[in-house]
Amino acid sequence: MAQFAFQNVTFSYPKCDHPALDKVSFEIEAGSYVMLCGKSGCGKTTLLRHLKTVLTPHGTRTGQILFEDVPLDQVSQREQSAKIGYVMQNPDAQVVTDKVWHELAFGLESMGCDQRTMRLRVAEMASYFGIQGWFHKDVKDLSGGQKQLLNLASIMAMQPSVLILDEPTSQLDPIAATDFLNTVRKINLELGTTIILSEHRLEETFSAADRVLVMKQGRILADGEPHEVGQKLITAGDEMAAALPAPMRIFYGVNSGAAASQVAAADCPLTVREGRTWLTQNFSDIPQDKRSLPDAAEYEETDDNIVLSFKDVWFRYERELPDILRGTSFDVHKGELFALVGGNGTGKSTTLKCACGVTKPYRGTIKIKGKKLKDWKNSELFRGCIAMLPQDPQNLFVKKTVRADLEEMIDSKGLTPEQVQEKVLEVARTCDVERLLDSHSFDLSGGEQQRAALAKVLLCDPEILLLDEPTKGIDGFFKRELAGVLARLREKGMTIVMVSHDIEFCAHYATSVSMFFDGGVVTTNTPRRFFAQNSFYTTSANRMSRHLFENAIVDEDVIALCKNA
Amino acid sequence: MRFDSYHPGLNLLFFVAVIAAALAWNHPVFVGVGFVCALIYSFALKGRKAVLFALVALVFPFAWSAWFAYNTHFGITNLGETIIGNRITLESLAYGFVQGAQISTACLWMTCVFKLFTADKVVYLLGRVSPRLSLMLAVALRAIPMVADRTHRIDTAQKAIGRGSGCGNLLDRAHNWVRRVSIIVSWSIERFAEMSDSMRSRGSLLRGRTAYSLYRFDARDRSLVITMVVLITICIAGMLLTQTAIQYNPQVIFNRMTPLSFVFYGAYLVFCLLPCVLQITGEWHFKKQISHVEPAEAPQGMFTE
Repeated sequence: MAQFAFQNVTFSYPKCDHPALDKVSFEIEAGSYVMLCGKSGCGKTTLLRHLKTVLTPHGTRTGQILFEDVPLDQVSQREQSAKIGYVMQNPDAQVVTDKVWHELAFGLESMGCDQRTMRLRVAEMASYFGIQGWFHKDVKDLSGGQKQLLNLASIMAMQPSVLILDEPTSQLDPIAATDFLNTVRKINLELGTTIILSEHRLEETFSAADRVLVMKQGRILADGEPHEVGQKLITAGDEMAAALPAPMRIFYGVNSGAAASQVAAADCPLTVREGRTWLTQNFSDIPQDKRSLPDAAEYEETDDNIVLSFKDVWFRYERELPDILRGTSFDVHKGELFALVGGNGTGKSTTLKCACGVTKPYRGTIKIKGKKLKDWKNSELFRGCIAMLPQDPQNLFVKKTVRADLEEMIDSKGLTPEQVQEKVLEVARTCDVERLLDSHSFDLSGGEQQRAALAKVLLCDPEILLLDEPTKGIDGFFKRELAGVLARLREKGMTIVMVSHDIEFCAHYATSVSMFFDGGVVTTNTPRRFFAQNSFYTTSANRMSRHLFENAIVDEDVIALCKNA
Repeated sequence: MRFDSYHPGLNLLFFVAVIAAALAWNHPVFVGVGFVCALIYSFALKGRKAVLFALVALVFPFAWSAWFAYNTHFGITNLGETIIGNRITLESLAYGFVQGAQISTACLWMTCVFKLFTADKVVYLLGRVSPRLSLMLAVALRAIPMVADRTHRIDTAQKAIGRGSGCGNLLDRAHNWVRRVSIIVSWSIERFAEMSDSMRSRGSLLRGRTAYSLYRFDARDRSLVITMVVLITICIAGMLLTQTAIQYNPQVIFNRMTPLSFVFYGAYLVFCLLPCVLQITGEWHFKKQISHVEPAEAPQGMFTE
């Protein structure tokens, strides 16, 4: 029996010509792990929200949605609440009560369970998810990962038969995201709960799924087992192909063109482990001299053209709290894309805040363009010198439309309204947000918000641009667009300092990478040297190929070496 | 070991009883007992931090008495005259003093309430009355720090582009502040829509909501509640026998003190001291237990013989 069945569902939002869902039909078997992917704005969330009537958006709909063979609208609210669990994107907004215990019990309270049942279920959930340790805590003291796990647990307490997750890890750092996805996997394997998950992090979920649905502009583009879907995307030349796991991209990079449709889909590796095996089987006889890419030049630590320098910077938020920065020192040269990578809570974001004077270190010196930060006037500093894009770009928007937000950044003295508009348009073009100018910032998707915020920051006309996790919550496609924007800015002579968890992004686009740990920079190097030396903290392509190849850190490197053989 | 380790219902019963008694009974013995006990308990709970408020509570009755006597002129024992020629009487001074002490006592008890009643307890107690209401409180308790945190984040983000609350001249600052408030409002509306989705998705609109309880009513709570009820009954008996209030107008007239009166005084004293006694005996008991756990002999170190 199919748990969910969509029969020719078409849905459009009010005042919108394009249907958000266009003749969507599929069935989902009980106990399966289904992954839904697609470019942002393709209708994933709209589709998922149709799986629960209280969340279904307003608009016109035709077609039928069945839940366990009954039309969904005829299933009682009580049954839907318990049986269909729904985890949303933002971990913070979903937690509604102030205490962990209360959140866990929330659903059970709604169902009107008696005290005995609630106690048992809450105890079960807290133990299964490892929440006992923070059962009595305030929700506000939890990390993002813990909050999302709590959301999951509080829904699982109602013992749903199907669990729907709408990009649950987009706001989490990679480690928390992997933990979360592993827990979801565990629920599927151990409890047999049906999982319907939408994700843009295909790297980790693609191999776990039984089935993948790919959406494009409200339609189902591909539907099937991961290997087949991968092949289909590649041969169709779809944009989503870029988001596939690295081993898959490399496999089809090697077997490109006509070969892609001829190879057996099942031979394609999905995980790093399978990728290693595949490389060993096919390429272990490559002669030694063809196994290495030319080693990039050693990172030069010159003293000229330093635009931002940290020298023994110490910082703590409060007198009683421990040091966050412990003698941080590094130099950024003009025109670099300088990436700071490292774990959570090591002080990366704090470094950026110190660099633009939002927080003040208690020891050490920060120099911007050779002048001490202390000696800069606020008005000079943020007009044409430095500006920061914060982790959550939404915090930058203070007006009703993106256009108004951009306009307010422009010093309109001595400018005609036309000139102001021209400036707005120019920066909007750079960041590719022209068609979003009249939208409210809250209505934009993660990637769009990121670029609109970047546009606003660019109006400070900075020579040094600070980016705090610019790729958080945005999909592979938008990442490439962002990279394009950054490249254009660097051409104009801008220096970019970026804090990121996104190893792949840094490997592709950074000019130098620094490892941040325990409040300081451990090492700085060119991406190739940096990632080739690491064995854990490195790209999938490198992990997959390091036993055969040297210095191959991005897909293209591995593909080139394979093809060269 | 503290009184808050007992069931929240008992905490509530205690404080309702003592505060009601403090406000309703104006017999000097009852007022005195209440005041001293409240003072002791506030020290037991808060230690040194209680000093400041205790000083205020001590001074307040005198101040109140002076102000009261200056404005109210009942009573027959004339002590003097105010500048504008009104009488100052012993009775109004006495009554003002007692009233001041009553208010002080109630406030002292309230400081203890704030210390003891965590949000969890309030949510629980409200949940016994109406689960829906207690949920609303819990949501509010979640929302307030969330909005505060957001305000801080927005300010940080704005600072990093030179538009923070502390940037620019006074006019700029005011402007930045207004912008921030308006965006916080829109953000909150947005966020509440998301929260309400999350709530509805978990069935918050269904009928027959219940409230989860962190607390259990155990044998220890039962014995305490019996003790409390017995003591309250004795005190109420005292009240019915008009032992808890006296007359101040036009003359201070005490009730007759009989041996039974002392039973009432004693009952009230014991009742008011209950949490303090429970705390002290509890701690003492716990210390004794710990010393059983630790090795009995003195530690062997470099500096011991």
